[in-house]
Parts: sequence; C-alpha cells; structure tokens
Amino acid sequence: MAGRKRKKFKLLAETIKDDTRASTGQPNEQGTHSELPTEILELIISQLTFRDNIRASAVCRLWHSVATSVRKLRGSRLCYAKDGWLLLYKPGTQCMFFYCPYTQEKIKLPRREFGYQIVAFSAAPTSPSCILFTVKHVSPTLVAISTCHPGANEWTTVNYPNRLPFVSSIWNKLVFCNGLFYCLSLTGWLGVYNPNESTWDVLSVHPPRCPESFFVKNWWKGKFMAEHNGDIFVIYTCSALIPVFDIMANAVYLTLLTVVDIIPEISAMIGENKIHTRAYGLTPRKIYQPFFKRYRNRFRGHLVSCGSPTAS
Amino acid sequence: MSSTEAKKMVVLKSFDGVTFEVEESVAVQFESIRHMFEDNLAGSVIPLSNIKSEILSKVIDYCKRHADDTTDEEDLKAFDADFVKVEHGTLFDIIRAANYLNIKSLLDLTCQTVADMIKGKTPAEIRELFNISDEFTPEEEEEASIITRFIYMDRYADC
Repeated sequence: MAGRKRKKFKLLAETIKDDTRASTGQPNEQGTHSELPTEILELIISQLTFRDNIRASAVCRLWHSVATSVRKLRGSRLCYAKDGWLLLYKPGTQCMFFYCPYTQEKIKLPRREFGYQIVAFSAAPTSPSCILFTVKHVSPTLVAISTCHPGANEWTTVNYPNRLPFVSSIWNKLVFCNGLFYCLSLTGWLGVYNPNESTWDVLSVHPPRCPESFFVKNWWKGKFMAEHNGDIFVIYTCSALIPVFDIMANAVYLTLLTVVDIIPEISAMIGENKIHTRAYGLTPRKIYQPFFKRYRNRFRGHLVSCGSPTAS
Repeated sequence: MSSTEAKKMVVLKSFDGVTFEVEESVAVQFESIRHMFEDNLAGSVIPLSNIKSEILSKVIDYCKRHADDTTDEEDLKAFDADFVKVEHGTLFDIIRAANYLNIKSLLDLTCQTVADMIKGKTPAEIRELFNISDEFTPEEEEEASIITRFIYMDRYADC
C-alpha cells in the first residue's frame, strides 16, 4: 500500500527543470533522486505554523500524511467549530480551549472532565454573547446542563427535569442555531436549551423515520446534525437514500444528488464540527472513515437530483 | 608543528567520478561517513555514489566555511543566505546530500529555506512552486476529505 502510494506521488523535484541534471545524468537508484525523503519533508513541514501546516496538508496525499503527523495540537479532540474558531479538548490534561487556527489565538476555559461528552458554543469566544453548553444524563428524568463562557472560573451546572423519551448520551448530536442549543438524542428526539432564559425542553416533534432500525449494528454511526443557514439538518447516511430531516419544517424529505454534487453539499450540511475534524485531522481518522466509505460505496453513480424540499 | 603537515586529507569521489580532496577538519562534519576516514583509511577514496560533483563541491564549500573559526558570525550568516539562493532542483539536491552525509546545520538551513518558501502559500501555489501533481483521482476515497479540506480552507483563508 505504502509502495503503491509512494509510486503515485510525483514528488517535489521530480519535474523541476534542471538542465544540469539532464546533461550530467543523475544517480537513479530506485528513483529516489527525484523525491525528498519523507523524513526531510517532515523536517520542512514541522517548521510551519499551524495554518501553513493545514494548507500544506492539502498539497497532496504524502504531504497530508506528513503534515498531520507533525502537527501540533495532536492529542486534542475537536468538540465544535463555529465562526472560524475551534473548540478543543485534551483528555489527558482535561484542558478545554478555543483555538483559532489562523491567528493562533488560544483562549483557555476552566478545566473539567468531559470524556466524550458533547459540547457546543454559540459564538466566537471573542464575542460577549459566547456561551458553551453541554448536557449530561443524571437519571431517566433528570439531565445536568452545564454552561460556561470565556473568562469564567468554572462551569455552572444545573439539573433540569427531563421529559422522556429524550435520552441524554454521548452519542447525541448538538448544534447551536438561532439562539438555541439543539440536542438530538439517539432515538431522534430533540432537546432544546435556551441560554437566555435558562430553559430546557424536549420538543414534541416525532423523530424522522430512520430507514434503518435503531437496533442495527453500528446504529450510532452515520447520523449527523448540522446548522446550515438557520436551518438544522439531520442526515442519516446509513441507508441507500439520504433522508435529510429538516427540523424547522418538521418534515422529512429526501435529498438525492449525484456524488459529485453531494460531497461539498453534504459536507456543508454535516457541519463544521465534522468537517473541521477531517480538515484538521485532530481525531483518529477511523472514526469518520466509515461515513465516507459507506457513503461513497453505496451512492456512487445511481443517484440523481430530485425532491428539493418544499419551502420551509 | 607546521599546520600543513598536521592536516590530514580525505578524498571524496562524487558519483560522476570527480574527486575532491578535503581537509579532515572539514570532512568531520560529514557525520555519516566520518567513521570511514577515522578508521584510518587515509589515502583511500570515499565514494559518494549519490551525490553529483556540482552538489558535492557546494556542500564542501559550505563545510569549509563553517569549519573556519576565523569567519565571524555576520559573515557566516551572509554566506548562508547567499548559499541557499539557488534554484529549487539544486536546493533539493543539497538537502538530499546534507541528509545523506548527515550535516545537521546544513540540513537545518536548507529545510528552513524550503519552509520559508511554503509559508503563506495556498496548496495550489505550493504545488505550482514545487511542481507537485496533486494526484487526486476521483476513485480515491481520500479525495472526499481533500475536497472538503479545500472548501473549508478557502472559506477561512481570508479570516
């Protein structure tokens, strides 16, 4: 695999015009003269800033693998991304912080154990309205909601009565949209937290019918929720069709696009948290690999546009 | 006691057959082949089968300058700055030679030079600069993430 990949890459100097080389000839042992060895590329790329590292990672696949391997912030899990800021968590140190990859600015938050708990924030941490939100299961009828804002000394936790069948778990999805935090439970029910009024409610909107059973293997994979232009989309990628559930319109419609269309399209819909995760390579690839794999394998070639939603 | 007498010479041979006689005090910077002349193989020729003469002479030049204690730091900096002002192909050849010979200061200098070229450039500009083919075939799964990366990078490029 490595060999195959290596062969495919046309590396650095290979095509650089070099007349002297042509005239004197060049040692040609395994063609290595035409490439910079990976360890040298590592040396070079490790000199770059985070931002340049990210850019370098999109040059080609070899550069990508090198760039991610030498990138700083390794070991940080990406929790959320919004307004050009990333929310990162280092499980080792229980340190949570905002990071702007482009200005390198870092804003620390109070330490706290999160595990894989979902966390989201409402606005750039430089904005006074920025608030962080997370919800945790306490009992079947009780959830603990913790909030925080940049500059605070600690997280504030309040228990709220919870209306079943909403079940809080680490597999839930979370987005901030139109002033509210929307938390989608595994079963498809939606909890809503209003940070201004400090209220928690579970919408009495029935979840969309997921084409595949809740109980199938890997049921927790392939479900995404994203905010997009003021709408929230839930995307199930576990079936042959991609049902997109528009929560605002309380309707399920099917979005069928060609693969070519769907990559950027669905990327935008899945939302910045997932996209950035891939973009910055901060979490193990394998977590997100299945999504694209399944998606590509199943959808390639037989989907065409249809069913644009009736205006929501 | 005369200095010329004390100087041991090492003979290096480039892949294209050109031999270079180098003072041992200079050649000790070639970490990876140091044992060859230190093992008292004086007089024998050390073949460097993957460095061409043009590059080897540059590398020797660099090491000579850096072995010379009389050069002051400013001059050395100016020399280094000048040294890396070569076309990319040559620069990469020097990097490979420095890597092969394990000359750390030269490797640092040249890698930093390449890193400086990359700084602030978009992936497309980097590819153009070094003539790298992006090799994103539609069949490759990796492509999806790369496209995505592009979209989002461009999106945030101005922020």
